Amino acid sequence: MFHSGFSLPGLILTILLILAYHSTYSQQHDAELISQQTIVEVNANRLVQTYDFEVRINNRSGDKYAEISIPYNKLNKLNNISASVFDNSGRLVTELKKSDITDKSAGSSMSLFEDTYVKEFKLRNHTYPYTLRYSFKMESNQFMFLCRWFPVLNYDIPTLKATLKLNIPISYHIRFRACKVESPKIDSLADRKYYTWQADYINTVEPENWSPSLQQFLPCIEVVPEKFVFEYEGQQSDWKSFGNWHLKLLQNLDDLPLSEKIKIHSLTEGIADKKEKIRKLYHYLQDETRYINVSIKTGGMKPYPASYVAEKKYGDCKALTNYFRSCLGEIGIDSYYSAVNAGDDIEPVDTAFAAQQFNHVFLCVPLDSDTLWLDCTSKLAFGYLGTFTQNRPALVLKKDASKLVMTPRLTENDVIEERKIKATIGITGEMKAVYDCNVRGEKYEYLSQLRSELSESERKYYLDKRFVNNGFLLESYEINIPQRDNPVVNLVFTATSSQMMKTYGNESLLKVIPVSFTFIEDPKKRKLPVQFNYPYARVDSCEYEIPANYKVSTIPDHINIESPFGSYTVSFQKNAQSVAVVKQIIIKAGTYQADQYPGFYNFINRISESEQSLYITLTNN
Amino acid sequence: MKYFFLFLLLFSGSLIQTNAQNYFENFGKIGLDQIEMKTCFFDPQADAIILSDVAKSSFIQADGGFNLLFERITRIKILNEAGKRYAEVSIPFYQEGSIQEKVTINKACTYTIAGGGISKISPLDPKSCYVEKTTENWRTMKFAMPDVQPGSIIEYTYSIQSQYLFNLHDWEFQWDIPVLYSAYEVRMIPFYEYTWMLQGRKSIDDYKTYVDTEALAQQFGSIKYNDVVYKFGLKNIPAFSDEQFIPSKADNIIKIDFQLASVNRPDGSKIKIMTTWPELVSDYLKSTNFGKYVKKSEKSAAEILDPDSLIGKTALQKFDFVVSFAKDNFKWNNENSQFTNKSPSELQKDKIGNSAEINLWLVGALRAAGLSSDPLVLSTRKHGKILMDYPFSSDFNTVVAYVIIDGKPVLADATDPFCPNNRIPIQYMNDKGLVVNKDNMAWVSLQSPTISTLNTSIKIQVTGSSQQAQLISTASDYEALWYRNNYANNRKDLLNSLSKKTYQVEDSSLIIKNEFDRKKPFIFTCTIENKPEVINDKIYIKPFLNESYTENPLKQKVRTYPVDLTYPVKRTYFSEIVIPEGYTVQFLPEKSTFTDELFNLEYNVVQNESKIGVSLSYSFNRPVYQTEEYARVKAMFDRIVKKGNEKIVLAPK
Repeated sequence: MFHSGFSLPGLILTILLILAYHSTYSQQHDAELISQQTIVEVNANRLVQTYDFEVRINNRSGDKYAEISIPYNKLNKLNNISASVFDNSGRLVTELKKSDITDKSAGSSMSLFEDTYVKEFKLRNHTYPYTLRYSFKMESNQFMFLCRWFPVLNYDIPTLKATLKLNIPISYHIRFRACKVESPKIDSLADRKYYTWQADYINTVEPENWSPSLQQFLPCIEVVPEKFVFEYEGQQSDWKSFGNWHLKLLQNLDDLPLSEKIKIHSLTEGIADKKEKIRKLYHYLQDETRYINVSIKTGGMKPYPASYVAEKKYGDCKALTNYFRSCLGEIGIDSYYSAVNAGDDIEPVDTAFAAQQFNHVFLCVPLDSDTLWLDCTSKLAFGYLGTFTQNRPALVLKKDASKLVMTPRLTENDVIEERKIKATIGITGEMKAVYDCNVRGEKYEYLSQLRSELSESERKYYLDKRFVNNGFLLESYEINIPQRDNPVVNLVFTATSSQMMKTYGNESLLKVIPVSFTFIEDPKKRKLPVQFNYPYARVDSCEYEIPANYKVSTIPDHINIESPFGSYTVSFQKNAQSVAVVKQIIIKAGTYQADQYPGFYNFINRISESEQSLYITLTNN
Repeated sequence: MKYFFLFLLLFSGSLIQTNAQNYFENFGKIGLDQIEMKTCFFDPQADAIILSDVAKSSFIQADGGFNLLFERITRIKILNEAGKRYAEVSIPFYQEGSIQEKVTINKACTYTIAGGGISKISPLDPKSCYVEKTTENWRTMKFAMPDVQPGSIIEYTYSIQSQYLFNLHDWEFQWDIPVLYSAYEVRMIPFYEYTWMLQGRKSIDDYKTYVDTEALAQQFGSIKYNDVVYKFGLKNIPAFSDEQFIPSKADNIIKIDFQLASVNRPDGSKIKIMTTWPELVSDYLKSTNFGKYVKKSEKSAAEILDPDSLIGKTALQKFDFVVSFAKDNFKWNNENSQFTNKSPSELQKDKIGNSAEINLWLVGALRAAGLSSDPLVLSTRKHGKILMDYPFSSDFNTVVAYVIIDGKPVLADATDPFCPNNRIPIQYMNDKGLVVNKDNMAWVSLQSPTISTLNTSIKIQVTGSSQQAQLISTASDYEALWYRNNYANNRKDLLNSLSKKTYQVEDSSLIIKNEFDRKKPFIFTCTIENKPEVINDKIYIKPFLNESYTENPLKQKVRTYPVDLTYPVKRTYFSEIVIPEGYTVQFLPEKSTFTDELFNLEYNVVQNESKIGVSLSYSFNRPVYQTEEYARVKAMFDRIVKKGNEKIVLAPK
């Protein structure tokens, strides 16, 4: 019946044969950092750093590494910028002119204003490869770090050779932290001491699914002076001394205006319980203030005083934390300003290296039986820390007693997502699914933000992206937080899809609404460990109502997978005109190294494959 | 064309008593309706409302000349937490050489609303205003209003003084939140003439013009004059919302633009700023940084292009040779410009240049090769559309080469090495461009002259518990450009994109052909291994895997703006499925065709004893679809999703 028309497959084969000749390909980096040298010198408490870079650009996508941007601020002077470009034969092509350099505010989208600036220039060549050499000098009188040396342009760009030289008076005491760098060579000559570190970064790493943050795989040296002057004289030989200096920055910042004091007392009047008093004031803080970052002076470490927040009703994390600490102090409750390295990823903190390793502050309030951690920028439940700060060391500042304390971790109960889904099929085969979800953990944080901080169109866009299955159209939704201090969001939505039920002759397949996972690398390709910073847990209870003109012919078998990484169970219940499906997925928190990866991969892959292949078979009556 | 002084506009609209001055004088006088307002009556979802946004521009005498003074007063009601972002204010201004714009915040307050009235007034602390150096010449004044709560009203008034008379402040009536009232008053003096153009609306709700005789006459030199006042007001303006596939915000937002047309000097002479298109063309040609540059390029290109090598070549071959020469030898510095900053010989030495330096050189070189070529000026997509009624060179921002080959016009650009020689980059495909030729001035469409194609062939074989598919995709024209921009030199991203389609692909099976060869289609092949979908012993096969759309990219029910697909496209998918031993075909999807003037879709299935062939092809015949056509475009995507994801069922014999 069909004889001609299959000419195209023939063509496929021909093309495949031709292409086979081209199958060898070279994996080339867009650019390489051929060499980097940093020289750090301390003379009479003046810090001078000189930086030299030699970058080879290999192709068009590498051109971005010839766009240089050097940040600086009021505390350090940037000068002696020079740069030149050489072609492949080593011939000088162009030299940087002063007029090629532009200067502008660095500002980030997170801040209203920061008094940091960048000097920028770009120098390129029209043929590849070419080499860009550039250097500059930084000088400052006030510093807490002698250097934070990070000789890598980007995680996918190798560094062939990097050198850090430190030249200090012999009496000058330093401490340092090294990551992926060998011990330094140390020489002394007359009254000077010389340190030399060598590093490279040849085997580049790339982010993979659920991989830890890449920073720990890249070479880095941080050097601090044991004694320093930064606004105040300070010492950073241990957390206690560093904490004492940090506390000096906070001195006399609890200047609440009288009207504010009256307000605080009147709010807490008649409340006996300490925790309830704090809760009352925390709600007041959440309702009346907003997060706005204005960062000027002191490298952004000194907070604005309490009066600033009382008047403007806004501030950054430092200002809001200091303000709230002052409010609690006003009613006689002790609380401690605490610093943490916040972020979705838990970055390793070198607990032995007492220095500024943090990017966020919050408040630690000891209660009789436990400890309250309050993020003063947060609009979430009272005492909820969340994925941003859970399960990591925080530096709690306390006169002569500052120390690192672990924050509480999120457990399965804290993150579990429960969905009740009721799906019905219309006469045209279209599925209408009504979801009623109780959402916790990271998604609670996400939905709370969607609910209160974004506009209607953005909200719908992101909701659709994250919570609505591919192939479904979001019809209506509602996001509610039933109890302010209970970290659960109730998300109810209705979505429709014409792709869930397909009819093949007199048999129809009804797809069980899947939980989708991001794709995960094959063990052969995987390089980095897997890091789950907190567990993943969900329970789906779905009921599929079958139209009257159909009957259920088969349902899938129950599934039960137990593994050291978690568990996955699905059960099916066939009723008269409906099928109930209950699904439970748990992935435990933890870091899984390369040798455990095949097992982890197998576990995730089995879930992921199963989720895409569950069908209820219906037959036409 | 609407000249301010040449004739009076005939329509006058409904004249409501809306005087800009009143708004400035009524700072802090908040009506009960605004205090009690809880939502926007025509947009209940709004996070905040612009209660009023009123400004005026006037000329003030300074240093023996005039400065422009722009004054504005804005009042905003914050309705919820998300609305608080409108309490952060950014005011851009310009500083370069003799132009030193200056911003003054005159007053700014937050009004706390409680108990049906204003319970507290919190003024902005002037020390909390910051100036950011946004770029080398642009500054931004930034401040955050204090003590803002849901329900609060904020109000601020500021002025900008400018020496830059070309830049009579434009006015955007629309915000991304609803606006109850927006008005702009322009006070003209006899020495400057401007034209204005309204975008996004056909008329102004409140329009008024009169000679201000109430104020005392002013004097400049020996000339006495009164301001002529023009007022533009709009009411109840819906929020501007961004949508998918939208061409550009600048082209759609409701606004009024001003352009300096001429300067009338006190001595009676007139300097014409706004000209006619032919005059503009002649100015381009006279310019050292444009017309003269082309002439010089013709000479210097002749020296480096070996003329002997062109002998005996056809026009098309010459064209190809010259464009390739420019693309291979010069590198674009990512700057669009219609004027050059260096000479052709400097470009030939540095080998890096802006779009004008490279493309005007190209025009010269094409002429040197004996072809007829002219510059064509255009405005990039981001820069907005050209208004044919308003001849201003500043509306253009880049230039390409217009060439006649065998009597047919072709556009060429040498800034993008991935773009085919006879095509211009996507960013340049914006409506129409102007051919800069004194005798043959013409407007030329910048849209793609052909339909770009993507052909995907798949061969699927199921053996035991494995489904193996061999895939070949061939992309031409702008489809190829898309692939090259994303994946040339970036094999890893192409592999990732395949993984994201849930394909298991052996790295070494991915072969890319013509990765950098812009003259040929971009081709890639790979082998995909997946588990076959087996349900109740039957095998379900999706002939096109996940190659076609798996869901409709258009989700909105209604659409306010056109759908811009940038170029017409035809995509064809062909799949050959080998029927495994011991299986028989139980179900095949239905054939289907759909054709009208906008789209085409064809779906075919054929079968013999051992194989099944399935093909889907669809085309979008236009680059842009109008708002009225939205429902049809959306329905078309639905059809593509449906047919592209059909399955074949094979059952054991």
